[in-house]
Amino acid sequence: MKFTNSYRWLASTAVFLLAVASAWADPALIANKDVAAEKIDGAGLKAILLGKKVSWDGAGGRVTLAVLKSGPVAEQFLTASAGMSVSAFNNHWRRLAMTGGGSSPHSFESEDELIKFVASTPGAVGFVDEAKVDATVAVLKPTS
Amino acid sequence: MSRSSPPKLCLKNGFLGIIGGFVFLAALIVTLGAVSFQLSRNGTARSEMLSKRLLPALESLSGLQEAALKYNLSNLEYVTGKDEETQAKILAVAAGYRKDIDRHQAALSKLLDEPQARELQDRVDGALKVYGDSVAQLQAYLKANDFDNAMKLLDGDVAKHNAAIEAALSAFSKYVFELSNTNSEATQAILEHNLKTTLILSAVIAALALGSVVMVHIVSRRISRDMNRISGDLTAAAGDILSKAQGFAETSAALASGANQQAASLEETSASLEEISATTAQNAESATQAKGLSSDTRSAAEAGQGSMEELKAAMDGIKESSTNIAKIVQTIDEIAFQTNILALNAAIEAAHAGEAGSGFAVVAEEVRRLAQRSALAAKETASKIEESVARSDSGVRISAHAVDAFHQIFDRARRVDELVGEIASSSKEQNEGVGQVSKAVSQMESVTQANASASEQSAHSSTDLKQKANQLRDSVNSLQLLVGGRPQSHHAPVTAAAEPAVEARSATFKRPVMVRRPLNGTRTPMRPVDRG
Repeated sequence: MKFTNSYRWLASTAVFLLAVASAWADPALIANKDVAAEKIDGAGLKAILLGKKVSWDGAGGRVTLAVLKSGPVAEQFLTASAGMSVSAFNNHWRRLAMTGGGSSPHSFESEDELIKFVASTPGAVGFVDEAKVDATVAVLKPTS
Repeated sequence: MSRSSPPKLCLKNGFLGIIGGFVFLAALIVTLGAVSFQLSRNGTARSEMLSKRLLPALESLSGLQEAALKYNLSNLEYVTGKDEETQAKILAVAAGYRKDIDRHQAALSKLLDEPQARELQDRVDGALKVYGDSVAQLQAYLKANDFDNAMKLLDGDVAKHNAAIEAALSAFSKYVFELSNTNSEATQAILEHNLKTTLILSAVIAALALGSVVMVHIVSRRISRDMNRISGDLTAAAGDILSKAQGFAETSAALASGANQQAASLEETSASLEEISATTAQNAESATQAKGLSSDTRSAAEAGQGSMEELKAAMDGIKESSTNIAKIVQTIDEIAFQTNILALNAAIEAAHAGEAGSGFAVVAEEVRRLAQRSALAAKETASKIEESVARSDSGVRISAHAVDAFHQIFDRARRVDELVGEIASSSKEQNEGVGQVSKAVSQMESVTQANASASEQSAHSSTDLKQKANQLRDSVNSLQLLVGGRPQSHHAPVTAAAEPAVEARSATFKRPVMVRRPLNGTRTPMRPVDRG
């Protein structure tokens, strides 16, 4: 009986920790490996996300932005990095794109597709859950 | 009175001509009105089409174009809506414009029913539907953040379909404008035609009216000339009538005066006759009373005669009674004589008886004295009866005379009664005769008064006739003034010459009333009584 209670406690704790871990999962900024050497700060990241910065400073060439269409990762990342919600971000890019202000970001439903797109597209940059990051892409750490 | 020649112009024909001319003018005016009405009705129909169909259609078309433009603009604004709230608002505005489009389309459907208009409107509807589908697809892309496809659609189908809408609207607008222009030109043509026709007809009417006025003027001048001549003749006739009316008035006044005097005399005669009638009636009444009295007298005489006969018989009875009384007195005298003898014998016998017979002797004395007194009284009575008999004889004789006298009185009274009866009968007949005469005079008086009244009325009529003659003359003067001539004043108005006669006659109208004479024979002088 005691043994059973101990399992239950452990299971509950594990679920709680998993939930907390997922809730607090840090989104990671990923990029194609050819722009792994690029240095980027918060303002630069925001300029990229808002379509104001369209080329890398180094030899990375043209910036191709990839975003998740929805989800907590997108919400968290965009709020933290661009200062706007997913909806506001979409509307921003809608106005920009439909008035000829720039090419709209590539949207993806899943993080895997996004990682795959970033890995295969030169100059691409995107964001996923940090836990999903693999070796096919480089992780950029924006300097504060 | 001058006799005028018959007028050359026939007024009836002249006025008939004028009336005919005006009737013709009126007919022309009515024709003008009818033609103008018909033309105006055509113009009005065109104008109504323009004002009630084409202009509202143009207005609706303009509204449709504006709504389509704004609809497209709203759809474009939706594309760049900064947030969901703004996008929702823009969509609502776009839906409102879409409803406006439908409303204008419905209005146009009601206003324009031509096949070509229907076809063009259907084309607009088709373009709108295709455009709406494109816009729906665009909105789906935008919601999916598929901005590339959205951009393609926006630059491709949406723009193309919007251009199709604009083209359809332009074609529709061009058609409506052409229709309006055609209608306006037709309306203008009708109005010009109307104006031209009206002007021509008005000119004809004006010319005819001028001709009519000239004709009327000519006819009126001729009428004035003839009327002037006729009025001159009428003036002369009026003067003639006036002078005759004066003579008639004077004659009537004199007639009225005479009739009134005659009526007064008749009234006086009637009054006298009534008095005579009253006196005769009184005589008849007195005669009747006298007849009654004489009848009474006759009856009294007859009664007196009877009484006298009875008196005579009574006197004979008295005489006979007196004779019988004388015989009785004589018997009494003889009895007294014998009684005296007997008394004397008794006294002798008493004396013979001596003392014993003394008392008897006294009685015998007394008896003898009574016998003597009876004898004496019988003698006195006899003498008086003789006197009475003598007087009775005398009375019988006198009564016989009286009877004769009564006979004579009776005869006379009977005669008087007969005569008085005749007198009463005559008086009655006389009274009736006088009454008939009085009635006849009264009738004459009433007839005379009626004559006087008729004369009075005749005098009034003559005055009226004179006034009418004056009025006739005034009317003729007015007529002359009317026709433009001078009033003929050579016949002075009759006032001073005729009025005194009329006044005198009027004075006689206040006829004096004859006051009836009282029956005591004193005549009260006649005095006029003011009847007014």
